[in-house]
Amino acid sequence: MAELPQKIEVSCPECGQTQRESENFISTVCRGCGAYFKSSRAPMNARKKVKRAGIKKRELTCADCGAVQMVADEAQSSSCLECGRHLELGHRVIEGEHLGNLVLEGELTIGPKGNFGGSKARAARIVLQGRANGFLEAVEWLKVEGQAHLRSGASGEVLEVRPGASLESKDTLLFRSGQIDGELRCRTAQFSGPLKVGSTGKIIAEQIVFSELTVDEGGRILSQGEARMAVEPVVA
Amino acid sequence: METGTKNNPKERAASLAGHGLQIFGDVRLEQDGVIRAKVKGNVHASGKLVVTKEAEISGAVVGGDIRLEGRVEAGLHGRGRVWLVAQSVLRTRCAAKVLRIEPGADFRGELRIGDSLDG
Repeated sequence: MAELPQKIEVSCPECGQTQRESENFISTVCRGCGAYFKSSRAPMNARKKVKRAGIKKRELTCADCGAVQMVADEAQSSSCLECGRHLELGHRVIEGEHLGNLVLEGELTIGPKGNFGGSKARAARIVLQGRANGFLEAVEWLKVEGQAHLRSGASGEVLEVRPGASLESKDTLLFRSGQIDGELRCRTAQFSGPLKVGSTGKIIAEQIVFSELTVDEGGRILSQGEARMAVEPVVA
Repeated sequence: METGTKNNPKERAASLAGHGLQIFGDVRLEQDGVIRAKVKGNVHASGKLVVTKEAEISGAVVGGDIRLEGRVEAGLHGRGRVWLVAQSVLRTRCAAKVLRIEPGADFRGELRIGDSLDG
């Protein structure tokens, strides 16, 4: 039976807090201040990249508990200091079946044959070409580029349905604004800001809510509609 | 009541149903028009139509291009462009080829926008 690595005590170069890590650890995140730092035992070429005084950091919000921490710009993953959730900071492409939830600070692409089978995926930017059974949350934008299907709805800042693309959603869509140049079929679509339907756009819905609507010549809508003053979308 | 307009050059530019006027019955305009009145009935215009902010129409409005600044209760059908400005109120239905609803406009009802949805 292989011997388990020993734990060693390491101190954070930023705040001085000590914590226990595996003796083989290469890098870690300080549980006190969130600083990302590398082991002094790591190979020299790895250590050279870390300039302790000049580490650039950015704010990271846990999608589960909402806790905010600072992480190094170069970090590819981190753990929430409050709830311990693993946070992926890079990009991800789903080409087949993906089970389990996703939290990305980068871009998520669900390819034409991809299917997100978890209950919730959150990413800064989402490109949807395939299917998602779970709820999608796009912090910056959700772009639909293929023949896409959503089973549990989506929310976010901007919804874009590109020309030639189609999105069929069986549940509610909640976005701040929308640009529809393809086809959108859904039960309810709520936009707290402007909704624009381009000349190749089409919406067939049970209900759409918006604060501002523009339909270009050639664009089509068939739905119950309601114009409201800008309101924050209520996330179900 | 039906209000037809005469083929007079002065009246060709716009047919006015004046401010403070109340009309009980349908209004038919054979050219471009501006409605400022309260109308208890429908309004049908052959050309462009402006429904000003003083106007209240209990029935439906049909026209070419329509700019709505006032209130229409029973729907609006524009054969061309329809523009709902801020503070306008539209209920029941909005049908048009091209549509713009400004922030602050109050609309609730069925939306049928686009060529193939005219019927």
